[in-house]
Amino acid sequence: MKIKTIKRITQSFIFVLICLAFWYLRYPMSGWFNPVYFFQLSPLAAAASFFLMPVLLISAGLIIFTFIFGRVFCGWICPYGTLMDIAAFIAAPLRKYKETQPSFIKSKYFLLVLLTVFLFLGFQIFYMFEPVTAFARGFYFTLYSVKNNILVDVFGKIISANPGVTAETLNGFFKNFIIENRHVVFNNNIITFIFFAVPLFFVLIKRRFWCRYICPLGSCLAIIARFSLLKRKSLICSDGCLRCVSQCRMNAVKSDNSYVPHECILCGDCIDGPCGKESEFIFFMPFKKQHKLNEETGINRKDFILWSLAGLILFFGWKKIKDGNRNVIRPPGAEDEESFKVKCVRCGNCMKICVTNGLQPVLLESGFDGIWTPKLDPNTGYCEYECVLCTKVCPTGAIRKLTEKEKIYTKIGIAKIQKDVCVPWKDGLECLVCEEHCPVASKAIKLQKITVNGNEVQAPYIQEELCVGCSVCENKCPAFENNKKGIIVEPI
Amino acid sequence: MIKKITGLFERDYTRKGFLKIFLIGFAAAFFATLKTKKLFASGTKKIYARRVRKISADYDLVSVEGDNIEKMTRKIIDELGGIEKFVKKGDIVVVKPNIGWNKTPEHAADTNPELVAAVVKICLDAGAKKVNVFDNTCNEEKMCYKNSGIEDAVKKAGGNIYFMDRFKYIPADFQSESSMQDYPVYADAVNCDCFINIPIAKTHGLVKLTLSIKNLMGVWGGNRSTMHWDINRKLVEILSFIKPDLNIIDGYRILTAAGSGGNAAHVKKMSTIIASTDAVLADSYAAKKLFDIDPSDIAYIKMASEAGLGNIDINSAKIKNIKI
Repeated sequence: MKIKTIKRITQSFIFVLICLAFWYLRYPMSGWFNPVYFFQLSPLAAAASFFLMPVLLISAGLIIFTFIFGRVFCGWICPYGTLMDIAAFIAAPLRKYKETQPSFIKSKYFLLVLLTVFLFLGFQIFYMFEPVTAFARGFYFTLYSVKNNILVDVFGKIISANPGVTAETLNGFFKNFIIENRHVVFNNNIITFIFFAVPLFFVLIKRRFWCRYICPLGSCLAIIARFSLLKRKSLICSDGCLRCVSQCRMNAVKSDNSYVPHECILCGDCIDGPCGKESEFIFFMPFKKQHKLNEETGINRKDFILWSLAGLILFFGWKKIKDGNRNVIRPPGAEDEESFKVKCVRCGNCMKICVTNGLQPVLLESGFDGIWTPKLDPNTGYCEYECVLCTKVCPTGAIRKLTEKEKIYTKIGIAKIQKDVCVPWKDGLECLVCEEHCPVASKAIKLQKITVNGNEVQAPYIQEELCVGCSVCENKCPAFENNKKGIIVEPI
Repeated sequence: MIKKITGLFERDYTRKGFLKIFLIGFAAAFFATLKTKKLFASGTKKIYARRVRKISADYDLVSVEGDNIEKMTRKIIDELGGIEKFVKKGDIVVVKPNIGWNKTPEHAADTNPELVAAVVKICLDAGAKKVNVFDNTCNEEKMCYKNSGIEDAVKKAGGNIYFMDRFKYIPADFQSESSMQDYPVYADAVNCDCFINIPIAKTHGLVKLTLSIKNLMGVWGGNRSTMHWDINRKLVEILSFIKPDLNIIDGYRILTAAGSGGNAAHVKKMSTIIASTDAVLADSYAAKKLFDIDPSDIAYIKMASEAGLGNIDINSAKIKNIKI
């Protein structure tokens, strides 16, 4: 079998596996594969978590793997890369191949150095470009939620129009295995989708444009892959057809039949011989010098120092607005605001698994460096009192692992009654929905008798030291006036 | 393959060819809609109040005290005249427990799973075709079903427990003026042969007690928070719409404060189960016996009896007390 075919099968298999793992990341977490480990693969995640133990180990695994085999991750595993390949396949008739290598081939290394400098100065924007989390965000916030909602609606309509045993059985099957029993909504999902989809359109210029010029994970692996043990051995080629050069999706093969080891993603484009001849990969052959290496487009010391300086200047020129205050309600177990924003890799696991759909991606409420971090949005859901799912799925420890006992004492916000909206306070009518729902054992919402408009009613008030800010009161509050509810939870 | 597809767009079309393709496509779309119209046809627009069989039990109300919940349940139904009075062969039975909160059975916020399982078993033994168990939960449904222990217990007993589908809520038509007009009600709860209501006895901040009438709120959808405005009147209308055939109040463990549970200090073990065909009588008796509250102090019970939906007078009813 051709290597290219094996690659394609492996790639689609892994892609489907990853999508399934993402899709089934939900309560009660009985899945056979937890995608958390997948996010921990990236060395960038390890850097963002400041070398937390499990992340460090797993990403070290990827580094060693890359040292032996080269950038197999980019070519065979990365889901975003697979998506690029699919997009390139579709866009093939529209694209014109260009052989020449643009001079900005070093751009991805520059980006990596810049982002690393930013990270260690406390400003993490890896999330913008990291391919695995970019794919996960696109999957969770747009593809998954839209697909799920369409399935829920279409399937519901079909079943309600054709009742019967078959429909009931199908319904049970669907609800157990395929869809959620409700609509899943994520805020600003159109913006997320644009960020997710635009890099896919770059394939119109070049196949794997993203991987060549932007991807920071790819450049991180490229630095290691330069010394990889598995190298390409090329047969002596004399007729000069140069088909392997124009076929290479990474421009790793040069016209003199040399190749750039850190650009090669082992996709097999050249191996199967577009010219009819064969070249092959051989394991651990650096001494025999049968392969011709082309070293001209890597990163060198001069570049590194220059770019670091440029990053520093850029950073201090930028002068981001820093304030340690929380503008949004964070999930329980979140670190203090500054280090939370640094550690969070924006994979969206916590928002996907949240059983009430209460965790939502932030857009700009918490600053530019807070995009796609999770917040608790009482309009869409609330924090289930004894649920610790989001703390279990955070890959970098931005949300600390909590036990159920710790969690019920973790304050994430504080409720405030709006006396100009709340029905008992304003109109003197009975309504104690918030008190009924308050999950705290001895009720953080207490009652007092008041007289309004001549009616004697029980009105709620908050005992602040008991309130944990779970937001169920705001979520269920029926009073709504002037764009605010009768009770509002503020971040703490 | 790609070339074939793109080739389609490169071909030069004559006007005739274009019209041909257009017409074929149009016809295909037309027939497709005809075929799928039935598939997507919207169901019944409105739903009417549940039709109730006439059931005459041996006693108006039976109350059992004991320790073995399954034995107590069997005894109580035998005393009422046997399950055959309620469930005929081939019936579709709805068992409606209270699974409102994400709490374990020890917290007494949800109906005791053993009681639910026992009722399901008895119904299946009597020849019921299907025993459906569901509740519109307050907390997240998956967690409520699992942590309350009811999902496992019902599945073990052979019942059919499922989450409530959004598309099966249908606006209710009361056929008279009502504050609950057009509130969506769950179709399965109305289109059934026998409705068995199994609430847990506990307190409620607004209406004082959550008993069998209040438990019927769990088959209604829509905005349940606004239902709490003028709740007493709405509860009476809910009762008149659903009219459960049998109410079994779980007084094994009761909550004496904070109806959403979570505080072990509020749980009180009464080891009692109360059953009646009359929801108002069951509530009155439970209020008096379990909580020592005069039933006429509870607005919705009083209003329900005034509306002629049941008997509030415990002394005039035919009641049997048993101890096992």
